[in-house]
Amino acid sequence: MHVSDERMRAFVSDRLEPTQRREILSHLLGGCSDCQKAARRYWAAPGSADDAAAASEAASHFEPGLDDSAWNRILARATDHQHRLDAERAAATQQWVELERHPQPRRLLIARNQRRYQTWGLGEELLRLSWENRFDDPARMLEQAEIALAVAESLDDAIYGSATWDLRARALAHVGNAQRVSSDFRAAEKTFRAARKALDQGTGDPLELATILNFEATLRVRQRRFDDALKLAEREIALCRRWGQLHRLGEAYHSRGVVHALRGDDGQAIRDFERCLDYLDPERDPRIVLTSRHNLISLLHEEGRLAEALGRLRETRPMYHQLGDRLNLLRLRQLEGEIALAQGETKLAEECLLEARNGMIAADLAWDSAEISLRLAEMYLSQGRNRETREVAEQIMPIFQSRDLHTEAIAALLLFREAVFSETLTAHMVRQTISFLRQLRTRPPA
Amino acid sequence: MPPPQASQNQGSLGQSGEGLHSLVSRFRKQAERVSLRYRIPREDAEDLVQQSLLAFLQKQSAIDCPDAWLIGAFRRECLMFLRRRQRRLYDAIDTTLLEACSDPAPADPERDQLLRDVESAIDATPPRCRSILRLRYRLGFATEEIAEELGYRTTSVRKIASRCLAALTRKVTGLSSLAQGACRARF
Repeated sequence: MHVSDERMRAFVSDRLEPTQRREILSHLLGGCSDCQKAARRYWAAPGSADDAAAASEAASHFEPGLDDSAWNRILARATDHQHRLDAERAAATQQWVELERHPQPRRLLIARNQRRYQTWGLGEELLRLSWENRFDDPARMLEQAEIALAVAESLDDAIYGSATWDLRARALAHVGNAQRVSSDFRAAEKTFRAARKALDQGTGDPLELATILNFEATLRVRQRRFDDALKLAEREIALCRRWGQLHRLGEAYHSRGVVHALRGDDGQAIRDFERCLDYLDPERDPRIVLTSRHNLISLLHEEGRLAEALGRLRETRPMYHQLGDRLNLLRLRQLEGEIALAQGETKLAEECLLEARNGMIAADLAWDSAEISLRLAEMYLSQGRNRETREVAEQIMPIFQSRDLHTEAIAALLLFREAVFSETLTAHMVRQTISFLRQLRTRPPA
Repeated sequence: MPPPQASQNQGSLGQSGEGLHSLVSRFRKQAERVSLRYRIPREDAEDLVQQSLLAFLQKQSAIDCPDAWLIGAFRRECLMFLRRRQRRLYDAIDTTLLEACSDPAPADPERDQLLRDVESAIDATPPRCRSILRLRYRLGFATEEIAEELGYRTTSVRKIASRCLAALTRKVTGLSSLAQGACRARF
């Protein structure tokens, strides 16, 4: 007596009584070749040695192709799903307005318990908003990513399929990134591990993996683990290239460029920023395009390629103004000042650098304001303007002391100030202080 | 840095039903080739195509190359499906044997015959598997207990036990004789 296909299916689906299961297993162990063959259909995975052995017999059981009616059903369901997603996305902005009124614990409670908020569209929108806050409001960035995670964790698999785990992985990656932005590296590390685990449960989408790799690479940069960061960026590049994700490929080159720049490999960093600009889509994310261009111009200037830096600056200037971002405009002024200084236009350089420095102080950006102050000091020193050099030295300390920043940075600036007042300051000493501050800036907090 | 999978291009396919239709018709040929290669049964192939398409619609705004992404997603769905199916066969054999060895009934000739047959199948597995499989199906040891008994770490014994169960499944399904040594368990 053979085991029918239906019974074999019931056996592997755990739908039989123990005695019935025993009968089937005994029958298989008894060596019935027909029934063993039927069981083997549940066995071989493509590419395995088992598969090679079982391939021909399995092929004989395969019914090829889906017919037109199956494809029509698929298309009809896909169209319905598209309409659902369109509606969710249209409602998401308003849903966030509603959620925003509540304190964070209540927002999380609502997201976890109110069905109407448990949509893919809202999860996606919250991640978009969180990402937008990455420069201006790290606390809000984290809050929005956490609500997105709560939404993703509550999504119904029956509606969204196994991709719900992908959104969960993406939300975890954004939470981890927000933790990294807030310098909570240990928590970020743990969250990225959870993100990878969630992705394993989902569809394994390489683009989601690329997002995690990108954020992890940034964490490694902040931890000054540059070799690890480079490996992650390279994996991300390979994934984006393989899947034809051109904008994402640009972002991956941007990440690698940052790593090379921080390692001091300016030549490679310049090549990466040039390459990333070939791929980035300004429509999709103009801010990263501007950041890449800015980094490229700075590096060209630092490498002494002034003509190229100036050319690029001319092309980019309208973009700084279009984006209307105060921080970017201040960075533009700083760059203009430094290039003017390199060209010997000291009056223009002074004007630009002072404006940039004062703006940075007003924006509470201690590191940037310190660096610009040191540039100004270097310039005044070369012009023998001791009074102005002393003024710079006096203005620089309170910024750092009031922010309770790195004690090593404060010590370096104290040495700088002493050298100014004892009139022993040299241009070399100023440049060394700038380079030391740059290193400290990317060092993880103790 | 990657942007979130923003909805800025939302509905680029869905809003113009045309886009979705043409994408699906291009995808159809490739999907059929993939399901043929992986020998996915027709009713399962429909589900897997559907899953891939839903995931695509959810993520479409961040996908630059829809054709490549969609067929890649379908291929992964097929592989996961095959792994799940294979796992189900392992689980069916494992559950049946555990129930048989823990059955409190004093004498049951059929059960005793099954356990004897299993014993011979275990004898034909690689030497390292025999002790693990005997501890599990004769004495009903849990993974942690096997690890303790044989001096393995729990994490590694899980992997080894899974490979041993695969070796036993090959015997049960007659695949080991079919493959003639092509499919030895790797340790």
